[in-house]
Amino acid sequence: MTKMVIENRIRRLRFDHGEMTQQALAERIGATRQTIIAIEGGKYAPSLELAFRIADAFGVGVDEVFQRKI
Amino acid sequence: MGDFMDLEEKVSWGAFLPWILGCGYYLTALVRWNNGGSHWPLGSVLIGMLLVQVVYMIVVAAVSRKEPRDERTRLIEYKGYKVAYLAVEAVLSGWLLWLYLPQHWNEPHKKLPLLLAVWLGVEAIRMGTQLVLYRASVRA
Repeated sequence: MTKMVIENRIRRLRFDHGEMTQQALAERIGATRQTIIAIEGGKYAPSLELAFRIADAFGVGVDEVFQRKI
Repeated sequence: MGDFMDLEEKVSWGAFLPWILGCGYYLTALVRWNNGGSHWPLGSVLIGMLLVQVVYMIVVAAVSRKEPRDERTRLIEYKGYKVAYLAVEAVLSGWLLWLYLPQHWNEPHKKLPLLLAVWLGVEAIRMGTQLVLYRASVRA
């Protein structure tokens, strides 16, 4: 099975939400800033629960935050 | 160091560095002692390491932002334990195999029952935990 590559638009969504800082997003979803950095950089794939919390923080669906790279 | 690391990573460094320095110092002292030098007892080194760690933890906790232990932090912790467990298991297995070498058959194996008990015990805990987790809800 080939490894699935998942991209995210967190950086873009933060920009669209008044240049929300990584720290502010981390505090909203109950994670650390380093976890946000890791997710943005594609170094950590969050659980479904954390993915939903990120999506909720931006008021969008999960599919608008995370997409599978084709 | 500010926001370059989260609190858990700073705490991990604070635990790791004194540990490595203490171990290195103790091993060096042990080699010197075996060669006729003065002996630095393990107790003093352990107390020194613990003191440095406690002071560091207090300072880090005081100056760092309070952060939750999130799923990534826990995953890193589990992976660390797994690597450490595999290393311990490798050492124990090697030691057991060494004790079973034919040239040791005529020697009294005082350590063998204890080693076997530790090895069987930790393996039982690992397998038991996994069996429970197969039926429980699992999250990082």
